[in-house]
Amino acid sequence: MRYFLLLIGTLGMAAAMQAQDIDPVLTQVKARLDSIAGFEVTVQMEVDIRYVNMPVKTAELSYQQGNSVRIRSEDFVMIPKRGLDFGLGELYKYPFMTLNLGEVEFQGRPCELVKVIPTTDASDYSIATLWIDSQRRRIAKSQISTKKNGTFDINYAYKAPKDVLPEGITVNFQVADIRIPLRFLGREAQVDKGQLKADPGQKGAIRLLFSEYRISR
Amino acid sequence: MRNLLSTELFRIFRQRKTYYAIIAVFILEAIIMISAYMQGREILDLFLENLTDTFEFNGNLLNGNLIVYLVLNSFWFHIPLILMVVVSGFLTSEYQDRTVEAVLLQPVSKLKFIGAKYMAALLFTAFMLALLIVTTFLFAYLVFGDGDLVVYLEGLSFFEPHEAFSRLVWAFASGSGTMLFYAVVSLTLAVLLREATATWIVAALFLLVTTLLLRFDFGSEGLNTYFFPKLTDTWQALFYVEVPWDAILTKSLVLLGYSALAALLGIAVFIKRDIT
Amino acid sequence: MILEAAAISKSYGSLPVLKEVSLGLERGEICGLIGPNGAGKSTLFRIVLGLVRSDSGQVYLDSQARKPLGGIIEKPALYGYLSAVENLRVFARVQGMRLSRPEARDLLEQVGLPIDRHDPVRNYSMGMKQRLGLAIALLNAPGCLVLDEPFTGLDPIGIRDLRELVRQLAVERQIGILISSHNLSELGDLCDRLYVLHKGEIRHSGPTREILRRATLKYQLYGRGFLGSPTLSEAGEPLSDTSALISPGPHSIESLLARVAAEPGVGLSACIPQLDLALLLEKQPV
Repeated sequence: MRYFLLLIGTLGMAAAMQAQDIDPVLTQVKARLDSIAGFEVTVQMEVDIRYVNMPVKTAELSYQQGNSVRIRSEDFVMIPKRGLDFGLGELYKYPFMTLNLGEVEFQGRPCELVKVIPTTDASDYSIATLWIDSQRRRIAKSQISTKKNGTFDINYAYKAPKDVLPEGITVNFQVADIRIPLRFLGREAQVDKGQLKADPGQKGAIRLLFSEYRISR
Repeated sequence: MRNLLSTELFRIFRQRKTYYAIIAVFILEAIIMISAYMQGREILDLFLENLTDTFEFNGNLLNGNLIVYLVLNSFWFHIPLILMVVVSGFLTSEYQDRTVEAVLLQPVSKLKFIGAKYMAALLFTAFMLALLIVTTFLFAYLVFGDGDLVVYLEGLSFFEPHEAFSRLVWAFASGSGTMLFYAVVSLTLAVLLREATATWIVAALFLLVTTLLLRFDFGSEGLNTYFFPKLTDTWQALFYVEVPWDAILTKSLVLLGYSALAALLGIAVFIKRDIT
Repeated sequence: MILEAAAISKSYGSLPVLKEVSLGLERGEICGLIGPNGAGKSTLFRIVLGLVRSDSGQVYLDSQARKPLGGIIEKPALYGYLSAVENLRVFARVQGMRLSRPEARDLLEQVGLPIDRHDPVRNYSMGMKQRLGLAIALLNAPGCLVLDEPFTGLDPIGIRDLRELVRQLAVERQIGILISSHNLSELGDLCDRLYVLHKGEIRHSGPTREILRRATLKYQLYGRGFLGSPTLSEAGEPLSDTSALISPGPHSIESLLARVAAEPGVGLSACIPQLDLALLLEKQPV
């Protein structure tokens, strides 16, 4: 009976934590973002992966609250799987709890370091860490460890102190090196073989630069 | 010389085998396009395999530019083979029918006769290449549309449509220099061997060995850069991110020198040798 | 002389093919070069026509014409996929001549070819190809023609027609014609003079009748009453009453025939010299 009560108590606490333990700083940021119903913006994308040579691409990005972003471009563009979660919809999709690790300084600004831990298996990330600029109530940096696609390190840059939508996002990630069968290779066949074996993975980044936000509230 | 050249061209286009060659090039082009279309998806999947974890892709890479690029790759072997067989036939058939003799019984100098042959070979090669290039671009863009070109050379390089088009055109131009080299060599082989089958076999062997030597490391910077097999794929350099124009120009000029040398050898042997 | 070859020598490796061969040709003259296969006739003609370089000796041409010399070596070489008119126009164009279609048809008529055929000449008979070859050789009005074995592959009617054409060219256009054959009878009644070539050397040369006489030891006679002829039984063995193979021996054939004709009961209807090329090939001073 005692154990039973303990169990009930524990479960009750857990449920209470779930309800209460979303960090207020995060909630504030989410509320600011939720005030934006949608927007359209022009985005320049610059891919920085050692073995990819791609010119800077321009695309039109549109966001509607509750939907994932849509990107239109005449050209071929590579869209990072993380980093475009403007409304934090992906973080909030499944239940989670947060853990505030206190204030840290990030890029000369005081930030709250908040860990976001999903509480169900359905979520496709295992943990996310957010550096939230508590004064300006916006995210300065996030680190999302996904279950399948590795860890994404995302830095946000803003134009004005009041802005909640970033002017630039840099997404850093781990990427496996390319393996091309010999028959598809041109003259470089003999050059990179050793290097390919020795280098199973490397860092890559994509830099997104936003301009001309057309925001609907 | 102009008279000889015009009769050469007149006769080339009155022969059935010329049209067989043109049809062969079209069939080859169609097969390459179809297999490029079928393989293209597989190639792209391979190229992009390690990026799919991190990225979603927006846009069509299996487009006209990729198809044209894959057709361009046929320059490695198929097109030169057809060209060498046809061009060497310009002379071997004349030896076989003894019309070399009949023409030289007229007041025609040997130099002008063989000079006109080389000129006709070059013009015919240029015509075939123009036909191939124009139809390739036309069909590729009409059927597969425009879009970014992705190639694997020192990593994955993406070129925007206008950039891709200009690089492909230059690559075709540079590759055409290689094709002209093969055409000249095949005519010189025809001068040396005179007999059609022997010339075909040696021409095919020449092409095969050249292609193999292209990948061979001679252990010497000079040989690795300027020995003729190393100059037959200069067009590939058009797909480096930074196009090494100086190197392309130098290599093209050296290959032109080799072509001139091959032609001079053929002309000298033809003039020196009796017509028997 | 419109054409003169002087002391032409040629070897293929260590094998001598021509040894100081000399010959000459006058305007309007038909000269025959007779010799067995392998005698060096084609090599000599190739040298005369400038296709092959001689090791020594000279070829002189007395002509300032753009094309002093036309020729056919062995079989005529034509572009089989072109029509006769197209062949003529192509061969004219290579030497800088612009030949209109009517002009080409005129030329065809001159050599006795039909002008209404537009099919490729690969369909033509050998005789027609020879005629077209001649028309091509005649382009640009050369002063002399060199024809190597032009009768090869022709049927008897073809041979007769071609001979007629050659004679006509010599007589009407005053073209000097050098013609070769390995068959003495083909040249006998066509040529004004004959050269006999054997193993790369000229063995005999001179007026045709003299050469033919040297090549003839026997005559085949046809007639009647031969069995009763004393002259015939002296000169040869009568085979039958109507034919006999005779050797005139020290007598001339003319006197022998006169004697036979004078004999009672004997009638002569034909006398055919039995030409023997082997007789001409024996080595003796030219």
